[in-house]
Amino acid sequence: MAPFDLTTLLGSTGSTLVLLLIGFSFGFILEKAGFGDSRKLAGQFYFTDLAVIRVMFTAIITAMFLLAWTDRLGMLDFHEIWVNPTYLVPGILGGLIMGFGFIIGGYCPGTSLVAAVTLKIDAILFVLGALVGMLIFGETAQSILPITEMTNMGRLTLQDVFGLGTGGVGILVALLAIGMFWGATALKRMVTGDPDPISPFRLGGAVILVGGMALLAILPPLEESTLWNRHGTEWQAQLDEREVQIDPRELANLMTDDLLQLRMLDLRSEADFHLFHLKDAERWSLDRLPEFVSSKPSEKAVIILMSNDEATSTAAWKTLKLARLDNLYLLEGGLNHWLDFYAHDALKRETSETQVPDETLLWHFDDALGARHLESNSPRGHHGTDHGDFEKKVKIVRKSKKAGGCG
Amino acid sequence: MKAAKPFWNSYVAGFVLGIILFLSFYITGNGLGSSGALQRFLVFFQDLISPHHVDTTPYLAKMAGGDRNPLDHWLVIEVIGVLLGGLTSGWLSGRLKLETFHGPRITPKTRWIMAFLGGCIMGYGARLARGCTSGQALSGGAVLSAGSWAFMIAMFAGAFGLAWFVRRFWTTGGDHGAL
Repeated sequence: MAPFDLTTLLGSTGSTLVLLLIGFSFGFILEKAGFGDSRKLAGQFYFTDLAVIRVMFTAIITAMFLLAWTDRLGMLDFHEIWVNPTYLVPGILGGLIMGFGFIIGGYCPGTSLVAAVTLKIDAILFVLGALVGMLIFGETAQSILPITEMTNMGRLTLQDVFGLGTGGVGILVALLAIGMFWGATALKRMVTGDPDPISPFRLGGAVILVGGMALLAILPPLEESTLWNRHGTEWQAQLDEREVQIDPRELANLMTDDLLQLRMLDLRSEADFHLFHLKDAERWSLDRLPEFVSSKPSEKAVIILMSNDEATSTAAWKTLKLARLDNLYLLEGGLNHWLDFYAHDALKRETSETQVPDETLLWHFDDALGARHLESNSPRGHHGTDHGDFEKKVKIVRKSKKAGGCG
Repeated sequence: MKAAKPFWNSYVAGFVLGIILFLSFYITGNGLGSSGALQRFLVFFQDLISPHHVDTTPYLAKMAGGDRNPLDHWLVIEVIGVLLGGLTSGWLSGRLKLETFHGPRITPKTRWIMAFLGGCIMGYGARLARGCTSGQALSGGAVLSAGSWAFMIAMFAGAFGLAWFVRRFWTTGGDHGAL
């Protein structure tokens, strides 16, 4: 499924060729569109020439449309696509400065390269100037570090900001673009006297665009099972190989590790939770998991999911894996198994496991002490049983910073 | 000398560019970019002149500290492609010509100064914003990154805002309304 790891697929020569081809097409089309001409570019800001917004926004909405639909159809995994992290204040400041630079210099970095290579002297000087500007930035970056690093919101999309799906945001963006085209064209007519009539192709394109995004917006969200089949092969293997189900004794160790950021999500009913739960465990439920994801848990935290057995915690594991969370594990055998190690045998119910429904707490507690039982915190609940050896499975994964974007 | 061919219709060019942008994401997972490559070339030369300085400046060390080769990055290869593509199109279209584009009311020399100055400002801004119109606006815009859209709005605001004050450099000044 797209996107692909080119170096693995094609080797370094192959991937270099592909990148060159992509760049070649980019440069070619920029020049064809007239972006190698600073007068044409600057004309945008006097409404004498609308090439800039027409090319830019048509390109953005075309790519947006294709990305949204290929993701929906399972041809592409959007989670593997680079989304520029949002640094709100430096982004806005940098944008303003770039706007000034654009209208003074008449180019932006990409277009200046295209113009320079076609021997435009102003472009060559622009490129040299850009290098100087970057030099200055590099040398002074350390002193303005608080500014360059502030308001880092990570991977944040407009969908996150507006609380809409991709279709909904797509409609807004499409309408914005169309509105801009219409408004700018009206201004151009006023300024230049050029009638610039709207061709049927433009209207047709607009209809397809808005219609396509609207369709995406009204389609029901994909079922988790569909998403799991598309993206979850590796994860399913991890479950089947029992690589992510951790022994209660390992959890006990993790609970005592001060250096570790541990989050224990208890997915059971309120009643069970208040009856008994592990110290510092948080009460969540399957339907509240989206809320957990939106809260953007720390990437450094190790998350342990637990229920009475494994059915619920496994379902939660799958949901959170689809949300691309890392360092995610579940408690092997659930709390019933935890209590096998850390509770007095007498507390165990007489019923055999096959006689009660799955995910029933098989232990009896006189009082609903929640986390105040001895058994809630293993070292205190040590009942002298030989705890033996167990396989340690937790490996902390730090998401390697993918080299994406203009970095 | 053959006459230059006309430019493509903007909407058509935009559509084709959109396809290229999409294909870049589809094949590589990354969009397009420009300023990052320029930055890397710069750091490469800085590293040749003074590797110690590069190693001890955190912003530069990220790209070229120690054994790191700043040119070993997809952006650099892509930009070489951009240069080749632009050159090819310019040549095929009859636009390959040593000249200076400038507004009708100023001389080439003035334009040179403004181009260099504008470039400086742009270069600085692009690093602060972590991208430029290719990397942030086009690519970030297409994936609906909130920061990229904020960047875009700010960039257009800056350019439109300053446009009236620098109109002497670009417009004819006479026939068309206030400009």
